[in-house]
Amino acid sequence: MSACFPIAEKTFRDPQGRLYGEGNRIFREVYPQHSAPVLDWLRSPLAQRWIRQGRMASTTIVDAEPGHPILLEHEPIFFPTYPWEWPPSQWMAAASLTLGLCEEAVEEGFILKDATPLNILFSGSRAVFVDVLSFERRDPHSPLWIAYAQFVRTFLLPLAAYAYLGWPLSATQQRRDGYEPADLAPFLPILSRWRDPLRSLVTLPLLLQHMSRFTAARPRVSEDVASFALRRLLQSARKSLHALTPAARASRWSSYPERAQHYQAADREAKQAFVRSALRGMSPSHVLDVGANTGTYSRIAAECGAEVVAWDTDVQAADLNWRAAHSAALPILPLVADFARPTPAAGWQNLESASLLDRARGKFDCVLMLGILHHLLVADQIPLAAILEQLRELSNRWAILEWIPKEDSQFNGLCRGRQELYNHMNEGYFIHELSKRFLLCGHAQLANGRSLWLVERI
Amino acid sequence: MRWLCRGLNFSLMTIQFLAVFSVLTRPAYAYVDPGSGLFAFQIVSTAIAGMVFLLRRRLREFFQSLTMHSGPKREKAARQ
Repeated sequence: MSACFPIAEKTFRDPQGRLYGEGNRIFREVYPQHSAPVLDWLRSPLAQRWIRQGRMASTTIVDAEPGHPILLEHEPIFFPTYPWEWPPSQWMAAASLTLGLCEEAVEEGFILKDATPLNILFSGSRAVFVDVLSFERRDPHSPLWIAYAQFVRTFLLPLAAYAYLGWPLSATQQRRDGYEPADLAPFLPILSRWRDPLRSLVTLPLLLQHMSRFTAARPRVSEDVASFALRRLLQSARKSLHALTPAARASRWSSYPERAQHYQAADREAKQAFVRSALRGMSPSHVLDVGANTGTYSRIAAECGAEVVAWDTDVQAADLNWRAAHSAALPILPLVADFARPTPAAGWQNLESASLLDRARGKFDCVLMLGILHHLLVADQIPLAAILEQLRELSNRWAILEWIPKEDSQFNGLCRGRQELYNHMNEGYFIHELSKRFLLCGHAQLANGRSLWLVERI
Repeated sequence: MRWLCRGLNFSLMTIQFLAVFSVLTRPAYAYVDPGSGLFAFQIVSTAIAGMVFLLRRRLREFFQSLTMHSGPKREKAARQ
């Protein structure tokens, strides 16, 4: 059962226990009838090793009286996310971690019984398995991995739909249990349906689905055969995952920092110097980078010691940001998220997964809004006062903004002949609205006409 | 040994395809439980893996028995 941390209420799907938050603390209650196997698992050298390695959520046994529910406490993950907010490389990392843990568990006599991306969160750029109740002792005579179908439905088929059909991974918000082979089959070209990995993920399962005698089978074999069959199945799942590695594609924004002609090298350097100096002066512990693109300023914030969450609407740009952060082990969490259309709450009674804004409020000491204001004003048609109010709500203290004048080529490009609507939108108006909500603490004027503002919440 | 196993895998896959095609006579649009196709696929794959495992073991035992038979002869030849 998926039991993810970003909860708005208590979880209810897991028959073994429930997860709930109290203030900033995360607790998990395990029901008495399941307490012995859970303690056996949590005290095993394997679980302890994964916790030390940071691959499984840090868990402390708070109370374990026989005959009573066990109380566990988890170390909270700073910014909980959902798979529908991850760029493709994060999906790959989450799937790889899930398979890797299952492979190791099989070798040590355990098995993973829930394999869904909802059981993974990211701490910075590192994937962490959070549902500690998802492992159990393996029946040594069973050659089956019961969670295999769930792994395919919730990891491999969404990745296949993204790779072969271009279906956005964000669409999985509507598919808690992923896709069925029949969802993809009608849209796949006939030839590629018979090539791996689609042959074993879509075509053959679809052909076999009416053979009910197979679905009732629970084979029991010798221990050797069971281990061999399980290892082979996991190897084949890994091979399919590898074959679904998304190709890096150029997008509208993925090479923007290199192509941006309205920024000369000197302007770019001045902007980076201002942001770096401001961040060093403030030393924020948590920074939100809105409109982060490929993460140039996220990395500057991380270099200044902050843990960064980076939002961008462009999947490829967020993917590049994650890959750069992951390879350098930086505490940056890039997400495909839109400041103007934040991820809504979802699930049962809209309480199972919290909205983006609910998760972000009160979390950040500093918010960066660089090169994004004109998009929100013109493309998304959000009034300046409303944007600044939202910014004030998201930042506990500081913000760094970039003002783009209406004469700027990018501002004009977005206006598309509606310039008269923005006649009032000058720097004076911006400063007037900004001053109502923030103290102006620092300012830099760039040669290209743009200006940078360091502000503190009133 | 490796090429033999690969060849065996390929043959089993071919048999699997033929078997699947031969039983595909039912209508395609009946209700099926979610995940049943993937589960059935896992059962078939597991059965094939089991067969591969047993065949490998038989083949290994066969080759080992050949080596064991030839072992004393070689020792005898070396002594002479």
